[in-house]
Amino acid sequence: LQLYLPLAELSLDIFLLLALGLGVGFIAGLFGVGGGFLLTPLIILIGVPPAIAVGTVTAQITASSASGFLAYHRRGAVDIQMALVLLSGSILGSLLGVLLFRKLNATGHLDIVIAFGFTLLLGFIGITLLKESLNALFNKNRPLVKRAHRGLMQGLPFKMRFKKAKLYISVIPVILVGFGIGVLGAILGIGGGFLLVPALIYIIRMPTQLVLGTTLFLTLVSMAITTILQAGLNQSVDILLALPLIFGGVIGAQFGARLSFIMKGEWLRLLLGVILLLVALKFLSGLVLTPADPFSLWKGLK
Amino acid sequence: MRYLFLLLLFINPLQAEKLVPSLSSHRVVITPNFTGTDLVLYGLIERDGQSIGRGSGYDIVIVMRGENETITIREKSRQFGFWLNEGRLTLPPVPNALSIYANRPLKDIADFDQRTPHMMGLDSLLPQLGNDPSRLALLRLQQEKGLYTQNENGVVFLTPQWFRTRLRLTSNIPTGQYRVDVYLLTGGVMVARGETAFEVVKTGIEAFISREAKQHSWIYGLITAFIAALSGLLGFLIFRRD
Repeated sequence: LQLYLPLAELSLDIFLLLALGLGVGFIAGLFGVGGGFLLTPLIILIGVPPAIAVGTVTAQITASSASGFLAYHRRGAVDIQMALVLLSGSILGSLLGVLLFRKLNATGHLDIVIAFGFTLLLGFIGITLLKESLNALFNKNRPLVKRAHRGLMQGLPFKMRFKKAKLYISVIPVILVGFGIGVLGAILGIGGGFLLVPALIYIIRMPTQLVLGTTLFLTLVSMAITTILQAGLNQSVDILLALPLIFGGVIGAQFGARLSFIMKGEWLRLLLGVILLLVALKFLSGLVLTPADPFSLWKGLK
Repeated sequence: MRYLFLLLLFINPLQAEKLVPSLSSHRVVITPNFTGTDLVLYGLIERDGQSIGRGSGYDIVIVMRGENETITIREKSRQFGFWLNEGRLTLPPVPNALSIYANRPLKDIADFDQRTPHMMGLDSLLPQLGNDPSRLALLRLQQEKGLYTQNENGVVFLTPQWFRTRLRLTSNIPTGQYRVDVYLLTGGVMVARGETAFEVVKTGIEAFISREAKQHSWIYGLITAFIAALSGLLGFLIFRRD
């Protein structure tokens, strides 16, 4: 059944879109991530223009993080105060990211920046996950993670007391982390959960049980804002493309989450690492292999 | 163009044929399940006493074109081992869709110089650019997308004076106004022309969404974000396990 997408200006099979949403939602639920890093490249691969793909996936992430956030909120596992400080940085980051996106789209460099961004980001995280999980699986005696030294963070000004997380730290690194996530989210169409989780654990040193819920709350608010910015400034959010992805994603995430209780953590991380590396390689090959046609056609540009 | 035809009529009293084209529809509606469609064009060649006894037979060339648009061609080149978009050239306005139909190979119907002023043939597009790579890229890329086509046996004569063509509109056909020019040639010279038109419009929800997304983009964004968050809430409520 073909569905005509009014902003992407092409027809796609609605069942293909549902299946993609379902599959990515399943992986997202399995690993406790948003899945934007997989969904954006996949819908680019099936022919959606990169700009529309990035804009539309922000709406899908808004939906999936909303249902995730509610689940954690009910268990009281969200630090709203920390999320709001992160958010002040991430809103600025989103705004800068959306403007940058607009500029890059006009100069014809957006596709290449998206490809570079995914290659570096997914490659780095993929290798880290792979190394860590292989170590855990085959080298059980090694201590897990070395804690970074505390001195650097303690010296910074503008300290704030975070009651729920039981932290008394400077807001500067918190805002900077939020800012970085905001920029990446807008340019690459990712929620950034898979970056924010390690950042909160290793840089901010937040208690682990609060990390996922807080991340989801931040993702929800920042992706909702990015959706509005992308639609308002770039007209790149196609709601008819978003709806089947959201529908499939919400259902897929439930099954993924259930399977994650059964599977062993190390194997999960190993699998996620492999998936990330494969997507990174796909983007890298697009950048280094000789293109079939070096010419491309751009409409409405002067 | 119409005046040129009248002028030709005036100069050459032998040109007594008239072309009467008829299109099966003047409005193509893009619906959610639009996968392309065909328009059928019938044409009648009316002749009077003066035109009887022409040496060679009739040829028909049909030129269907959409609205003009500005297109920039970019060229990737290798920089530091990576393929990046570096070269760019903005072309003069060209139709966003262009289809040529004829009853036999265009080069047999008329010379390039006779055809070019009327865009009879894809080779008549931006001839001033010659074999510039950007012009070749435009033709190649638009043909790959199915937006530029040339079908040299797309016109079928049902009788010597009655012909039919199927105008193929693909699923990615741009919306807007389309002009269809029908040319009658004999012995390599155009002797009559006819014109018709149609429009391609989005309708219903598609038209509504693309209009709102462009005209009220901020409200559209707000509503989209709200719908997304609401879907998440619904998903949570449906699947929560108490």
